[in-house]
Amino acid sequence: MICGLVSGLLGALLGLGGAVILTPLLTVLLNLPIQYAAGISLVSALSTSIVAGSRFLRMGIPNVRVFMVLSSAGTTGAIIGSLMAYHIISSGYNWILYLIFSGVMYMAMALVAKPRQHVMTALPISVRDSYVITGSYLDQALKVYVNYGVRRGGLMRAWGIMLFGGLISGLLGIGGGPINMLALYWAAELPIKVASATSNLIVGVTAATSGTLYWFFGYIQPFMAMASVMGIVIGANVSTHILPKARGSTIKALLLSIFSYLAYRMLLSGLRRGGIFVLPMNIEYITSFMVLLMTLGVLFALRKYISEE
Amino acid sequence: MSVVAGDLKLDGLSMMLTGLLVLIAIPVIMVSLNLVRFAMERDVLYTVLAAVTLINLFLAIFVLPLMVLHK
Repeated sequence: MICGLVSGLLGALLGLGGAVILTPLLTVLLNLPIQYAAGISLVSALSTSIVAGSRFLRMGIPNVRVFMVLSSAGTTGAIIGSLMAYHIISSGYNWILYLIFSGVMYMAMALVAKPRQHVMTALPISVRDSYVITGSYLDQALKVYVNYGVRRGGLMRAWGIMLFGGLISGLLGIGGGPINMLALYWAAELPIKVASATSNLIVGVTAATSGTLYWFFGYIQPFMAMASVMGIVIGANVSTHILPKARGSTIKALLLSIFSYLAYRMLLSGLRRGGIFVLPMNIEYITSFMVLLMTLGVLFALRKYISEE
Repeated sequence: MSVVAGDLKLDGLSMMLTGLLVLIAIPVIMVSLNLVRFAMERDVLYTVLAAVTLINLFLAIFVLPLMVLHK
């Protein structure tokens, strides 16, 4: 439950959703096998997605058509991914999952720390015809209606990325938020608010698919799952209250360095379980602490280039 | 069904499982509502896409567990 609290807090501050942080916290600190941690974080991804998704839907931000297109890819990927996870785990290769997970964490870090981007303005009406899907939403901060469109090619690319995203989500038991954002924001070129709200809905559907499969495989322990869900909901709510005050690139650098520490520990424990590269425990602690300090230093030096959002 | 029986006896574990069932049911309901909406708008492409999503969900919920566990 405390892990859920911490990860809900960190996840909402970074804008990632708690699951990416919950799984490493559970595996590294509580020494839980990765499949149980994955099951727990799937349940919590599902619940955060539903809580946030209902709020966004009432505000009318997510694009239902884009959601429909991409969730068909996401669920397919999730089925394949969780079947793959089942076979990998039951044949005793679960150290591979640790390695993949740390890779995904580094990728998520790169996404969070993206350089500042210029704000998308409303698109000219003359080029509207080349868009497959168009939509508009009311921007609360700017107090204007923003029009946007999605091109066919962008949607196709997003579909492909989403298939991969669903696969990773099923394989590792995360909601796949960072990969969704990649698909929606970079490939489909949606505005960032629409992208994150739509990604929230897609996470719900994907997590429901792989969550049921994980349940039938017996990877979800109800007691721990419910405890961490309660923690995550409280944590996420607290962080929405402190987010306006805590905004700024300094706090982001601090959180990212914690994140990199967890990713590094994940990598090492994967290597240890695979028997490829075994470090003594005390050296592992020292080096991971050094990684923490190093990323802290580097991120503070690059603080100006980290986006504020 | 045993979950419902446990709920009536206020069994803690089956209460948690009910919560899990509700969590899984919400996206399914959302997708099927969208399916109906697109079908009423006679929007063939999106109806098909929603149907694909729904079929995937049902595949994961009902069909695949039987296939995997009885192998």
